[in-house]
Amino acid sequence: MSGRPRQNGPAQAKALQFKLVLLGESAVGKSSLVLRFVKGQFHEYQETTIGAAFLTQTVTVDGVTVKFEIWDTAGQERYHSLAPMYYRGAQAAIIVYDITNRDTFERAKSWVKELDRQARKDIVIALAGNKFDLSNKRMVEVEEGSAYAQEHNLIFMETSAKTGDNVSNVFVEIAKMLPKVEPKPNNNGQTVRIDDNQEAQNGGGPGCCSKN
Amino acid sequence: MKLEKEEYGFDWPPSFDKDTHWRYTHKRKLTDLERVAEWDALNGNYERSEALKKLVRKGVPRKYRVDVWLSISSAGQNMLENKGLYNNLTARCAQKETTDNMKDTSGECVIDVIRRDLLRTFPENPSFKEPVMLNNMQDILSAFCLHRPEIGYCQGLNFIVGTLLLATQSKDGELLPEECFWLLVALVDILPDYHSNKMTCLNNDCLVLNDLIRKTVPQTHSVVSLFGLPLQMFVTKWFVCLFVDVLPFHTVLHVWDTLFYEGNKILFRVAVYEFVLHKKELKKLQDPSGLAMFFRNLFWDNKAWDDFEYMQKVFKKTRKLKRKYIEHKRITKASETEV
Repeated sequence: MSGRPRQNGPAQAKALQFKLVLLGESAVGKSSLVLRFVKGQFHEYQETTIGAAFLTQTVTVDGVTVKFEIWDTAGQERYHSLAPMYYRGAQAAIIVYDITNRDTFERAKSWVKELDRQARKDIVIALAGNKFDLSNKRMVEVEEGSAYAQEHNLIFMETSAKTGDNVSNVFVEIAKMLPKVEPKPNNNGQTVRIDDNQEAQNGGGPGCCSKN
Repeated sequence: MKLEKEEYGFDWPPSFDKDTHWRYTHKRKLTDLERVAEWDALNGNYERSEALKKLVRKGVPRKYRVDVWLSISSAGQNMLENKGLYNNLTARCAQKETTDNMKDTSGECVIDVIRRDLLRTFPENPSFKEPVMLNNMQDILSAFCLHRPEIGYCQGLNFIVGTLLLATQSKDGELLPEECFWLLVALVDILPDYHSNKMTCLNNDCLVLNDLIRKTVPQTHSVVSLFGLPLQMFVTKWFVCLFVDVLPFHTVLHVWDTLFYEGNKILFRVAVYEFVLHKKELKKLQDPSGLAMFFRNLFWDNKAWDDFEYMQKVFKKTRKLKRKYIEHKRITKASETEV
């Protein structure tokens, strides 16, 4: 079944909407990055995310407003089976690791592989080495993260949700890479369809909804 | 003006003004007085009966809760029959040879995983900064991993244990870790296998709920399905945390009263009722983002604040939901997934 949610009333201010998912090992700072980006806040102890949390935030890039619909997922390995539900149809992903913990970098790599196999072919992926503020305890060198990202064609940044370093930059860089094509009405096409099962094949996804 | 915390140390919903705050507190005190009088009359006799079931549905008063939970579930009996086991488990968890072999599925030592989540459990609640609370939480969760290695530690159990510790804490602040441990075991036994490795039963129950909503609240179901998003994206936490952090804390405890007495069907009744209760808002939603925001904000919805009224309505509005039907759905959904 597919369909477009009805939009009544006058057209709203134009904002392109993109679905973005955060993936990565538990306690690397996924929720903290989102909290910093969306509310400009940081909590030393961020509540464990169960299932997933949803938030939205808008950025303006080159005069175009981009609204991110962000799915922040649970990191523990046993929640892995739920992840496809959240990255299905996503136009962007941030894969997060903790620069002070090598295992989380390995886990990040396995997320990259999984997205390569299972996500939309045109998904924009950023790799974020978080907890940059703890760089004196670093276990993953910046060159290593950057080399891996380059090899796999990912945006790469080291971030700190605590200080705010590079946090909005990651989102802005992603926004720059996303297609800025205006969604057209009655276009059964690629970017803006609501479609339960087909999005992986035809590139549509539940992340946006067109309006006119 | 920022209001003080509610009775268990949680924040009041931001939408509450001073009057609402006062009105609720006052009403709760009155309802509580009534409840206490009824429970006083039982003289500690909690044998199963229609009368007791009715009383439990009205909510167990705070001062009786731990005794009632222990006797209406398997916890009290288990604790009696396994004297010393909890202390033995915690003692073993303090030994390196034991903990070295306790691995999370990621390969990391499970004790470290638990420890990392301690301060990430109810961080806004002052009780969860107290070392004694955190140590007990760690002990219970670690002992549970040793006792039930097939389940181990699942994120979400931290909230369940935190809730147990807070709910059973005595007036002068004394914690009851052994009781909480056995209550945790009892809860996990009441549930289908939600917290174990692959979480298959959890996924399955989300599918069952989806069918129940389609059947009982079709108007809201069609809205959700129009957006093409699986319901599971929103309700996983409801099942994993048994409504902790989804409903107000004292309402969660009221749900648990009936969960301990009547079993896991109650989770479906509450879940279905949430859709009944919010029918109007759900029907107005226009896009997936609105839907996701709606579920996100449920917690701050005042409709569940009066736990007494809320639970009465849960039972009234979901009367037709039969245990047999749920069991049947569970089997059919599971076989569909296998295919």
